[in-house]
Amino acid sequence: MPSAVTALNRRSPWARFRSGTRCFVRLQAMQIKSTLSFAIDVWIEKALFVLSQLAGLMFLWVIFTRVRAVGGWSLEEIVFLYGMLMLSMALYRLVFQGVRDTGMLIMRGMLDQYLTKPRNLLLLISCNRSNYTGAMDLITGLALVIIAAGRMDYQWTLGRALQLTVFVLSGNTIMVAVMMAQAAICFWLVRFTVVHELIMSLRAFCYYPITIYGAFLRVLLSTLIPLGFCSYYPAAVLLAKDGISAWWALVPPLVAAACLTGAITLFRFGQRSYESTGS
Amino acid sequence: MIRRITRYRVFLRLAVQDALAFRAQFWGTLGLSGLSLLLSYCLWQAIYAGRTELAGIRAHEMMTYLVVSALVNGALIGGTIGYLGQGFVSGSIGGDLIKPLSFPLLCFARSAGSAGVYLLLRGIPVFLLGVIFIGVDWHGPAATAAFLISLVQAFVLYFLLEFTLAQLTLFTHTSAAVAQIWVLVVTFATGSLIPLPFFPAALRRVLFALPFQSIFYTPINIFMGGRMEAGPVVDLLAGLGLPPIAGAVACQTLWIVLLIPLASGAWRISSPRILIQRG
Repeated sequence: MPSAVTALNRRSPWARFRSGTRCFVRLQAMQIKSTLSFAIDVWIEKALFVLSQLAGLMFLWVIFTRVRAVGGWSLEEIVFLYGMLMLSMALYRLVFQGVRDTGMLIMRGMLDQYLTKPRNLLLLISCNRSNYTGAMDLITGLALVIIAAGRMDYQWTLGRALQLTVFVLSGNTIMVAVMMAQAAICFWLVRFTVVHELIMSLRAFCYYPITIYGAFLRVLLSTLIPLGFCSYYPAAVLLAKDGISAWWALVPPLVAAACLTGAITLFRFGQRSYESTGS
Repeated sequence: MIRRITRYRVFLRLAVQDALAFRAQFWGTLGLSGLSLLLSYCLWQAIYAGRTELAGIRAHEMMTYLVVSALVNGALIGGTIGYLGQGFVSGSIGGDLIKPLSFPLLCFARSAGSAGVYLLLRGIPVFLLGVIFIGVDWHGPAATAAFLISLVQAFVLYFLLEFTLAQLTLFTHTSAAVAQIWVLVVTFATGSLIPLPFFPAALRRVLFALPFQSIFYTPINIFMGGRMEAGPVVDLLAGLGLPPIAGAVACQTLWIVLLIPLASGAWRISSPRILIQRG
């Protein structure tokens, strides 16, 4: 008798996609239900999320009460960049945040129970911890981009709006891919939350133009952990800053595609090397 | 008395073993701290660009502030909010509560163990790297001795404040929101991100009236020979003839004396609410 996994794999790609999507929606619904069972925490967390974003802006405000520009960028330009980076976090927080728990699941021997299910491991882990503050990232990020652009008298055209959409999609894909890659490393190193912390630390410094950092950090943020393509490069192209060529507009989507392919491959490779730590 | 204290050494040792259990994680954390210092250095260099002084703090003093901040950061490892939150949800807190020990002291021993390890193996190495590559202003053995006393007091204050706040997890049922409040407070009210003199006068008055500045800003200011503004309490003590550094240490002690009853009171009120749901 064929196993459930074999039976699923025999279906057409379209049928598998539909089935995966259905599974995804059900898992998300369960996640919402589970999250709302701690209602007070959810609402406090949402309120605090907005506060923490405002606090990030407060840092900028405090600094800009003393200086006029940082790295040649004015307050409005940095707020625009800040908004771009916030927008790029939305998809990861909304849907894929569960991947950060991969190390913990491996360490506690809890990954085995996911592997026994006839579904894609990445899908199951991703839906494990969706965070609806991701919607706040989207709203706040967009508001900041629009407000900052308004204060700069930025001329929005259809082309620029489309470019912004492509950059936001690319930024989100890069962020998800980077997080997936850090999760994949845990298949070899088990508890290695430091990569997640590293990414979040580097992300915090991407609120500023990366040209202010040394060559090593600029290269790091443009290659190995390409968070520069979530904020700096798109903002520099849209605002025509730092003499960046318009051709750079093509780079973020290409980087996003390469990152996602690399991350999925690395995750699958890691999954094949997985050895249970026991329960 | 000594026998009673010795019992808590077990939890201190457990925290040390836990921190050292995953070597890759540990070395990664050390690298991350070094990188964070480098990024902060670049950011503040860009903020100071061409200026010798901002908010009464000279550029080289700001670099000292950053390096000492990395050392203080190494000593202030809490995790009480997460420990209490996870223990409450998973039911594992029951195991600690049935022990014939004081739960707050048990948490203190755990935090002290983690803090000791991270200070020795992360805070001090990053500080030394900072001293070698960035450089710090040294204000003599008296200031250094006072700094060490104030660092110990800062840890006690950090624990008392975190422990008091952690009691909120018994009302919210998870720790995410409470942890976010704590991160917000530590980031902005302690001076760990921006030295307090950078804030506008009205906000500065509020921050100096709260105990949070005694965690980060006070030890760093003491290391720097009390060069920066110290707040109204220290000024009042200076008026009574106490030198600024001694006044700052006394101010920390005062906060500890005030916060011990607050923390124990919070525990007395919240502990009857503990309901073990499973485990």
